[in-house]
Amino acid sequence: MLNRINRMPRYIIYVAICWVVSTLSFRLLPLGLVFTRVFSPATSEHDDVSAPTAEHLVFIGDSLTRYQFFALLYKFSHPANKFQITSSARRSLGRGRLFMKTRQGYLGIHAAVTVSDRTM
Amino acid sequence: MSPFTPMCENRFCTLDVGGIGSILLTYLQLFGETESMHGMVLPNETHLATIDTVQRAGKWSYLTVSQCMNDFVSRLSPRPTQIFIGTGAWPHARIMFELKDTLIAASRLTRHVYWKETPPFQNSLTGGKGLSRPQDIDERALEYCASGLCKYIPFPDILPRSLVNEDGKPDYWDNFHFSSGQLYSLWNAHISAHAEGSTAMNRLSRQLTTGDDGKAA
Repeated sequence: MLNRINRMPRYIIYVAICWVVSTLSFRLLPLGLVFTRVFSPATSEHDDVSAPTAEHLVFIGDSLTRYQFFALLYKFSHPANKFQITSSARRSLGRGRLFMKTRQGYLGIHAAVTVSDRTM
Repeated sequence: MSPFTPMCENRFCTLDVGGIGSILLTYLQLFGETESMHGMVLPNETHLATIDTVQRAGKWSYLTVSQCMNDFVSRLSPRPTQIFIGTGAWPHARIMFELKDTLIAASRLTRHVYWKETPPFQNSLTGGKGLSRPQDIDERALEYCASGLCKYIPFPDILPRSLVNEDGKPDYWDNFHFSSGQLYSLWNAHISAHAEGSTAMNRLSRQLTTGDDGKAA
């Protein structure tokens, strides 16, 4: 067996070693995470809440607050334009059909404002 | 109507504000005493709050604001740094009853908790006073804010000329909602100016107040 290995070209041995190491480390990664989790110090019930790393503004209120929320989104996603509320946009906003998505959230307000711009 | 319609969706959005970086915004609806605090997206799965027309099943609902604060808002990630609350025109006797608990729950999450004064209704703007018309719940909130549970943000008493009509009043499209988008922008500037509590908020406030929307904020 050793003789056969010795007769193999070196690069095949290197590739085989790399393959074994990468496979093992990939397989062992979850085990490592479990190990860390199990042996980490006891945490509180809010342990899934990350420490504040950025500003997170939470608005709780009715449709007036929602309009403010949209105006704030619009202010920074369309800084050159003014935030308009026309009857069409009002209907869309009022019915809350515009869903927000993290990072792409401005698309929702963009849709509303496109309607608004068209009806101006 | 089903209690779980798109109307009840909560919204999450990340704003990239120049000079500040990312600011995460969350809106949770609170329509007075109606069972309005519910949605289809859990705090740890905001990636599901997509822009589409899919009707998803509701995943959470709360009967009281304090409960929502304790069990939902507290689990938002990143943790809220500023919380703005207001009830507007909806009936609010029950919310008023548990207002102290709500503010205590909010103040456990962040020291920057703000009560947003109810804006004036069209039919309340009689006489020559300014625009601030606090409701009973606002007065109660003012008491709690005085004891340190929150910071009270009154509605701007005076608006720039461009935002009022000949009678010095803003235009409405019903008894409660302003028709000018600029007024909402100005209101944001006014609120952020009161809410300065961190470097990022100070910068946000400056950006809002120096724009064309907020000249008179």
